[in-house]
Amino acid sequence: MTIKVDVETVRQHALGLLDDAMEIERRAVLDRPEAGSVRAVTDAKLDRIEERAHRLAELMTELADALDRWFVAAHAIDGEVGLGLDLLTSRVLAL
Amino acid sequence: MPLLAAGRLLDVVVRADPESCQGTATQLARLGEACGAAGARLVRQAGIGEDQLGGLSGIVYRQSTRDLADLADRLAADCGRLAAGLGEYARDVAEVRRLMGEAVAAATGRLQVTDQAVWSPIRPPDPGDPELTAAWTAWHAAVDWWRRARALEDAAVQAWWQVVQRHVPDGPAEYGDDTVTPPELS
Repeated sequence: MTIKVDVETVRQHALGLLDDAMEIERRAVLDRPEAGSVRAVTDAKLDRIEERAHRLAELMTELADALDRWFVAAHAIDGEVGLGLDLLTSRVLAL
Repeated sequence: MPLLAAGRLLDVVVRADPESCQGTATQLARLGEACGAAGARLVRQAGIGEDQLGGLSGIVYRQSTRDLADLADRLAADCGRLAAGLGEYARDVAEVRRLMGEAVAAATGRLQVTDQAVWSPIRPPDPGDPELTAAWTAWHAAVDWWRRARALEDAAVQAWWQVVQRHVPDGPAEYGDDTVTPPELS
């Protein structure tokens, strides 16, 4: 079967995902402030925020990688992509 | 022994540092902006049409992208809320330090003062001793400033704690529980 694909647009999506993931990774390094009596809870909260940011960046990178794998499995011809099994190959795009 | 008795001391140390708190608040704000920008891009990408990515692949991709956008938006909102709260805490701590400085200033020259503490006169008030009377007047003034400083410090801690508590867990289950233990107030 074939499906319509704008290859350039989808490739730009993958690049955008990687750019944003890198920026989030870069920003997700938080100094632990001297917060006095609430230092421990503040540190614990910042730990959580960093973990969530790293996880988000990881998921975005995984989706970008999945798009690359999807392109390997697919064969673009004149704006359409032929898929042996759309159902099977599309699963790489699921998080 | 009451605070206004002879032989007492005021702990004038303020451990929280407003500059480091403000620095981290700024970092949180920047992280929130990055997550917000990612969320906005993901929302746009989730709008990719059937004519650009069709079939079941397109359906799955759009759903995965929407899920990521939700995560990014929630994290952006949480970062923004925490940044605002920590920034407010930093401003309050700066004011606590200013008030504590006033306490030290009120005592300086009349009482024994270090960067850690202010000591009350070691003898009880005596109306016949002008120097001792001035020392007790300085002590009372220092205690007033110190009380204002500690009251504001406690209020700031409570306010920041409320922000931390309101920040509910989100994201997939593997993110774990965001619960943290309450602070111990002085």
